[in-house]
Amino acid sequence: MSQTPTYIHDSELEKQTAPLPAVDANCMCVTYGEDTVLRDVTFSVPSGAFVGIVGPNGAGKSTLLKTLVGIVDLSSGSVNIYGDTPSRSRRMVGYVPQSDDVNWQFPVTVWDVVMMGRTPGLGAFRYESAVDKNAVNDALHRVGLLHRKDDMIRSLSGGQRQRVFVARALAQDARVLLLDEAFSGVDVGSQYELMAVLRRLCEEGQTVLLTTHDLANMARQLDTVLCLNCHLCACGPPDEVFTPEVLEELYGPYVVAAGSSYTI
Amino acid sequence: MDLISYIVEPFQYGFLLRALAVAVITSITCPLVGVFVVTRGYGFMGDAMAHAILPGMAAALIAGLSPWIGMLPSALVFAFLVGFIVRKTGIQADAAIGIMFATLFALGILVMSLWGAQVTVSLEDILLGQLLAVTQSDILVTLGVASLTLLVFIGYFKGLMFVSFDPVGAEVAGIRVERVDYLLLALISVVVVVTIQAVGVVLVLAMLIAPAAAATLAAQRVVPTIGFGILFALIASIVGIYASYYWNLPSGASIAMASGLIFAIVALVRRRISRA
Repeated sequence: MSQTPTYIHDSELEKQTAPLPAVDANCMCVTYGEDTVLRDVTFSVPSGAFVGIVGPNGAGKSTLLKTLVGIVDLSSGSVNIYGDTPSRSRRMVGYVPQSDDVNWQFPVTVWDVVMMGRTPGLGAFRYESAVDKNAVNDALHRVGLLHRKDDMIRSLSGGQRQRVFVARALAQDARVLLLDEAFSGVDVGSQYELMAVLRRLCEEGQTVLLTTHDLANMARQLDTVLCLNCHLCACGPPDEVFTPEVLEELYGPYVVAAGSSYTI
Repeated sequence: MDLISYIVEPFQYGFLLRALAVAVITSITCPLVGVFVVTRGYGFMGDAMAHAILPGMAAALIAGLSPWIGMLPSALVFAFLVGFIVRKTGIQADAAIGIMFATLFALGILVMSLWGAQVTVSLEDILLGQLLAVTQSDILVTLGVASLTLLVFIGYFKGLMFVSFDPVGAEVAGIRVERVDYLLLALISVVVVVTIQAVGVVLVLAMLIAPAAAATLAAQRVVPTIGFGILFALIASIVGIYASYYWNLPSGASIAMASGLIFAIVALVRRRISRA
């Protein structure tokens, strides 16, 4: 198991002023009953990084994201978001669910969805202030969908829907964005468009973690990939970690035999 | 007879005014929860619940109590058992609903046949409702329950909306999804029980589903959809009551027919609009 240290500090001074990592996971274990879903997962993601999580179905990718938002508990180990536990840093983490988990027939507009990031509370009389409205406008502008704000969410394409959810996370003032199956059901053109939006957000200081099955195209564009198969098989820049050995550990021997195509 | 007296004439009778009052109240509560029933695919749930109240209703009638006292616990037990079965066994929700629907309805029939000899309320009354026989106290109970529903609904509206659209996102945002889901089921139970008084077991869906379904075709956002649903339900109730008075038809069946016709008209109009 190789783990890349993400911070190398030359001086004591730098150590003292070093920014907190966006995500800091230490020996994370998750078990559901008898099954171990995650075993001793340790990694650190610096602020502003663009990170992918790859691995076969059932490798624990979604579970890992869910531990970061505090809806799946660790059985041992720890995970911190900017130095705080997930349940205490909830507002800081924006989550884009798998497309299958969303009820697309529900009558809401793009605006309504993004506003959920501002007013998730239960009361109907929660006043939507000018600050809330500005935040929603701004978030939609940043993902390039302000012109679609009055449209029904179900009338949007897969890629646009993903960007609306990214906007919801931005409206929430999240500093860490998590996307589960970011590119599933998104056509190739929209995949690159979504990628460009996420890349720009990282440059603006957001930290992005996404899970994907697309090793050949999407994962290759990321700074760092975590190769997960219940445990962390490898971690680092895609060109370095996608070795035949790692791919075999993730997906079995057939993938390696298939040669240069990494799309699973 | 001129138009005004044609419109006013039925309401010189107290029983028709009371029927109208109950119909108006249920026309507001049904689409309120109905929009969530329709958009979350809970239609069968509503139907099954309307039947699953039978054992409670039968027990209350046999004990000489108001049927309300048995119906509401019955509906709640049904809703919670369905949720429980789905969570514990992992079978599909519609199968769990089917199991509880059949079992509880059968239990009600058994209770009625074993101990119900002295009960004067006929099965037809239960199935078709007794809108024209509602009393002053029925109106007060309906109004009270409806107001409570409305308050809870308004209080949890944003949470209900978030959970219905994106349950995982809602959980991440710190909303207790399971609690909100059970709350919605409880609200559906209460509304179904109140509506049964007006239109009966079989026709409860006519008020719960058809106006809300028509409204989802007419509007785009949740609040306008609820608004249209209430409008359609009110039209169905009023048209149904007039038809019932002038043509001497059963009131519950008239309202349900009107409700179905409104859905058909809205669906046709929308097709024409989207073609144009």
